[in-house]
Amino acid sequence: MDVIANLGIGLQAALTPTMLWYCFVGVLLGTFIGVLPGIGPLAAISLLLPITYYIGPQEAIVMLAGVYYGAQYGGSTAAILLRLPGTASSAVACIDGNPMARNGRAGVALFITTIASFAGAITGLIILIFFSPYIAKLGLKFGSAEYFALMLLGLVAACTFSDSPLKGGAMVVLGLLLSMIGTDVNTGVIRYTFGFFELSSGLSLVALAMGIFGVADIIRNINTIDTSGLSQRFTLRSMLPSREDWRLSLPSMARGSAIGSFFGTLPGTGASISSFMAYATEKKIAKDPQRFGKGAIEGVAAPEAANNASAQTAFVPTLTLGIPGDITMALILGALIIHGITPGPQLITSQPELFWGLIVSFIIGNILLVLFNIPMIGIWISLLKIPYRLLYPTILIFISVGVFSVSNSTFDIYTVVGIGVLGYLLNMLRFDPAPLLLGFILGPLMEEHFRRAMLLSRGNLETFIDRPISLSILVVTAIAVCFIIASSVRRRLRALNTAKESHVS
Amino acid sequence: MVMRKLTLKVNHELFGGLLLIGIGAYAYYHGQQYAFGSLARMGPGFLPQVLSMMLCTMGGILAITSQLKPSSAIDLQLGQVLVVAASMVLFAMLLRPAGLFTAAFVSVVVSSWADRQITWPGRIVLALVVAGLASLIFIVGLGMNMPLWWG
Repeated sequence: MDVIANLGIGLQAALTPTMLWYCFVGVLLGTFIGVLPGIGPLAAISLLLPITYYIGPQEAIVMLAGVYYGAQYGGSTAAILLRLPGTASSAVACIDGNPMARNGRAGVALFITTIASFAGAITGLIILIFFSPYIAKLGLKFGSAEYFALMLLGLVAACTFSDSPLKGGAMVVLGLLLSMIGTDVNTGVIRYTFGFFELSSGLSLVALAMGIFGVADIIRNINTIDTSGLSQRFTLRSMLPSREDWRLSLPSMARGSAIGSFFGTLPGTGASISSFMAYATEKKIAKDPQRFGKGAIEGVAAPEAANNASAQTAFVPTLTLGIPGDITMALILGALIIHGITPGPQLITSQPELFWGLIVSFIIGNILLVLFNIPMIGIWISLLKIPYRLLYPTILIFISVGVFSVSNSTFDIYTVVGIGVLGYLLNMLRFDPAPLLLGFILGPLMEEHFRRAMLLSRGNLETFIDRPISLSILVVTAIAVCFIIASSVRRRLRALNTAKESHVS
Repeated sequence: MVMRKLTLKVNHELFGGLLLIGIGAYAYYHGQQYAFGSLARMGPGFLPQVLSMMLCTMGGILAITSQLKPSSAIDLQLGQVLVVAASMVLFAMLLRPAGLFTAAFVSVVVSSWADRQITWPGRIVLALVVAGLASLIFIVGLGMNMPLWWG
């Protein structure tokens, strides 16, 4: 029994006091930051990223993963109670969660969220445990052409995140361009540094992430976040769902987990897509779709299960191929690379303690999350009452110190300011900046693999079509592109038609 | 304090498209100093130039198709942008010479300006609390290498 032996290795690695401590700290900090109004999981991870430079690589990723699912959970608490989604995936939780809260069923909504998150996460973990070794074995056959094709697929899939695939694509390309800043690995030529020697090692990932998800969001949120509407008191009794709630939500959780697990494993599609798909599915198969948007419990259970399932299965491509499943994974991948670990097919065989230890600590982290959240919900809710005007100056200081500490240079603080203003402008012009970060992280990897593939084939582009695995990945990518174009053309035509009709009438 | 708000009544897609073309054109122009090379032996300028051209093309498509849609106003909170940027720049400038406590205090006093409701006493108390907290966490707790105070 391979699986049991593997988990045995993992248990040994994860059940040390230090690992348990960092897992605990990660989940606690993640929930704490995630629940604060106006801060999402991405901001939480980028805020805590610099701290992990002071600890070992394995502890760092255990802590960051804990922060990730803690923050995601905390984010849905803020979404349900205040209608303040920190991320696109918790925006789905608002649709039915917030009406439930206004009908006095906030406790039930939060309880179901916790259970659904746990169910989704465990499903995702099972997939992760059974599938990663196979994907890694497949990955050993990959050459540079395959890696390039797969990353291309990931970036194309990421464009579907945005409302407009064209704008999403433009953000990906901008991210790729930003990743060109610094020293070119192949030739040693220094590109786009504008005379700043600090830029010769590239634009700092932490600075970019904090500028886009910290500073830009703060500028937008000042004077718009209102937390005064929150006045409910919580008792454990008010949280318990009725028998009817269970009957409706259990099948939804199962469907949500399945959808989330599937989309999580695909490179480039992560939590947001999964929760939208899960919500749409529930609405489609419900007997009475009218209830959705007015507090249907399935509308909370399915997306929550889906986004947590995909949060776990997104580790499959991240750890076994080194290709991030979504933007959060891209940040975690960046952290791993900074720690000197390059995830790839060899990771499972060369460092089994690291790989299986991580998986076991994910299980422990999810159990901790449930233990924290059900009894301590009152504390988390009181955090939601902190007014934003006290919060944002504090966060700005934490961002500045955090980014400064990475390389002890104030230059990075100026970078954050610049990126933050750019991010705010892009936000106002309704660009989704998330694909930008994905492009930025994949940029150097893609450039390296593309150039190597071209070098090996002596500049023959047919190498991408000659190799069967690469060809099939490219075919899938082409289908995805066609699908995107077709659906956006259809939408545009429909919008044009309705505009004409309203003119006539 | 009255916050300056810049409301632009423009087509945001057109504006966005033009912005992309601008960035792409500049990156292309700047990237020309790096050798282009060939497909078999790519120079450092190969991908930057290809990507800049892609960005320009995408910006062009966006700007052209934007004419099919009605324009809408965008509110640029110019005051908030300036206040937040100024507070962080001040922090960066003060950190080395004046220490974390001073830099954090000044930065919070400035950044809290962006909020419409905060009062002067509240602002001072907040700045003192945040500066104290930051000093405790980062210097006492994590032992980071930065001065606490002037000198």
